[in-house]
Amino acid sequence: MELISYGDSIPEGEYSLHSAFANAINFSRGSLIVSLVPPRAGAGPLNLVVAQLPPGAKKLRSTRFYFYVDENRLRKEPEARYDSAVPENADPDKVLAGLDALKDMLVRWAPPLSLAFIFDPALEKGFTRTFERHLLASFKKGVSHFRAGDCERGVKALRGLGLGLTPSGDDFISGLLAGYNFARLGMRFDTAARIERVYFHAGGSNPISDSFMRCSYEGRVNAKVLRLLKALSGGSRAELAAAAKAALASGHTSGADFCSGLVFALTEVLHNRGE
Amino acid sequence: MIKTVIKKGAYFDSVSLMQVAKRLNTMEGVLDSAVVMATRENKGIIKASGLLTPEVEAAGDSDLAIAVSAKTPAAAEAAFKAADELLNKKPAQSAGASDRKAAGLDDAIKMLDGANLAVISVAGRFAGPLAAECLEKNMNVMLFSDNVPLETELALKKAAQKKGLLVMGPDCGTAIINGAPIAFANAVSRGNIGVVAASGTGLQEVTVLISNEGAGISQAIGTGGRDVKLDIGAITLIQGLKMLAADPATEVILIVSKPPHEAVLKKILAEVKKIKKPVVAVLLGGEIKDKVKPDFYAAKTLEEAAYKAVCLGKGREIAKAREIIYDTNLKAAELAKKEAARKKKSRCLRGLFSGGTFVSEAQVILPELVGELRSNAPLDKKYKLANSLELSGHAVIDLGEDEFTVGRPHPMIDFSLRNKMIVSEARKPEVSVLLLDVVLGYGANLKPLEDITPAITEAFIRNRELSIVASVTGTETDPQVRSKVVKGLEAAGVLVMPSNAAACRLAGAIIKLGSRK
Repeated sequence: MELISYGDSIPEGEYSLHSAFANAINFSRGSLIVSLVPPRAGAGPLNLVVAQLPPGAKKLRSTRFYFYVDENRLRKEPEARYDSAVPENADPDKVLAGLDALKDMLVRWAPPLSLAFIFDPALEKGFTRTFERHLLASFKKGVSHFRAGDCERGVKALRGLGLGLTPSGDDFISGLLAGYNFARLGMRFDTAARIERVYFHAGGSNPISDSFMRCSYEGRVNAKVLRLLKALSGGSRAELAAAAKAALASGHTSGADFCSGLVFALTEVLHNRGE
Repeated sequence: MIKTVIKKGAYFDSVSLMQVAKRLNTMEGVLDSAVVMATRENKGIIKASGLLTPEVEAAGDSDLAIAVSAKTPAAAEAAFKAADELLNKKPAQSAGASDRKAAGLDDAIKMLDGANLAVISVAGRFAGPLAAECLEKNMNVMLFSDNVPLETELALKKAAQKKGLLVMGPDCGTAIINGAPIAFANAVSRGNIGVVAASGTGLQEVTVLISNEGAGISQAIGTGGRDVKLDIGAITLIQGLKMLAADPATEVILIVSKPPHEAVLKKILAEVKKIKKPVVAVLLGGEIKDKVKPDFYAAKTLEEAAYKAVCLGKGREIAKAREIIYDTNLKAAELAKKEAARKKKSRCLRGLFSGGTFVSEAQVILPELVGELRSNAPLDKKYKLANSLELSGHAVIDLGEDEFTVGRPHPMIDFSLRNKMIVSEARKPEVSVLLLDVVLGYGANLKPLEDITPAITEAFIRNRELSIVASVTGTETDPQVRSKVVKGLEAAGVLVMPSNAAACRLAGAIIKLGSRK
């Protein structure tokens, strides 16, 4: 087994099998999920990228210098360590300009039933069935709380809400946290209180969602999101488009829901920066 | 009408969930549906949509809720069936391989640059030339096809040997290479035990037992059953031994085979002597009398071989293997007493197997307990059944033999013929014990419980004194999930044992104890 990269946020300890999909074998330790993924899934703060997924893997152990997948020992080579920190020294003006373009891309490329409708009400038409319309109403209610500045009620309304293994609301909240952290660590805005308020009420749906949220709370993002943030910070339009496409391709609506939260948070911070 | 299904603790990736939701919403007779994780917030939406049932209300955050509002019960059932089919669908393989099918070998190589193994499953007469072409292109070959002439096999294996390549097969149904299960194989843990086997089901059984005992497999190389015959001279088996001996990830080597020709056995053992790693060998129905080397261990059954390999792999004393078997024997003895006590008298045993090697293993274990045992695939020709469809006395049959498989899928996939036989044998008053194998893993029947349980239920109705004993060859990470299958079989009244050998011992003990009445 060949270890291509490993995330920088994987604590040492014993992990047991949680779930296995075509693109990931998830191991849990308490409420933390660490995933064994193939190269196409990409690096992440809690990902071990291996050349080929071992279908029967049952146990994972992380020690100071090695990972053990069952009885396979994988050395933690320093050069294979994925640094998942959000980029620093970003120019707010450039990011703001990129955000407008990213919103357009999100609206154009997001799959139906994602939270991208918050940037274009025309996307609400995708919610057709009774269940979906009720879901839409709840999404709108949750987002309206955020727009009114009430993070607490917004998170409570959106957490665990929606379609997918990681419910859309959870992905949106992860995106929000990543956005606020990018604003704080990358552009020196004081968003710490908002981050704490959001994270305090978030989580609890399932360990996979919770692990993603925890990473976002700590300012740790996967390689697709990192590429997107770098492109936002001054990449070309073509690079931004390529990065957006890659980020949107995560899960079914997960990528779009995350990006919606990210764009929402950054727009809020950058538009209110004079206040 | 509103119907719901809860899949407890079931995690499916988002794409699968959305596919299911999309499919349900387009089905005729389905008015509304929800396919969501049963979080408190989602339950609120389900309630607001009028889809809430007590089952959904009771479900937790980690449970998947499928709720359907349908015009008729049949439409709801159809929706759940469709959902199950989509959720149980095997995941798509390698992102590099698109939906496009290769137009030929060259095209396939272009599509998957760097591929070094070809799996060939075409009619036997076409398989030889195709395998030769693959060898020319420096690819190892797994020949799933059967009916390949012996001289073609020999030519292919010699050509491969010259180039340092492997030809696994013909008629090779199982291999695990670099952790990838190929054809009929199980999702086993990776580890330090390398297997080379001239038997598909034998390879599955040992790799599963090793994995379930907490050890793992480095590589599992299939050779095809004819490899150990005099004409072929174990070319692939010996190549496999050399490869495992040179493989740094392999610390213990396990050989699985039916008894080779005497001259071939000598060649194999000569190769074993050169290996500086412990070697375990099981030749079902055969015996190794020579003292090969100090760290060579012969085993009589697949179970014994697997557990010995586990002990060596984990650095435990080899005697610990007996302790593991002893524990299952204790369980078997208790069950046998109980079963024998509820019968007037135990008479005949019938083994209906989908795996050929299990039939051989049964013939190694059962005669000591029940006496004469007949088979359509006997280890000793004098015990050949006159007619495989008219069983008499104690008998074990291999339903994977050509006489049963012409024009129908292998019995590991299609249970229909065995199901018929389960019921017809149960009807016979002289039959006291049915012995079965249920093989899980990739390639095998994905819904074994659904397919076999009705036949088992009917068998018990027809024969109130019947005992049904089974082994389940599989792991928790197999698509069918071993524990679920075991639980389902036990709920249906089947006595499930951890290995085929243990199941044989239990079945034999029931007959032995019951026949004393």
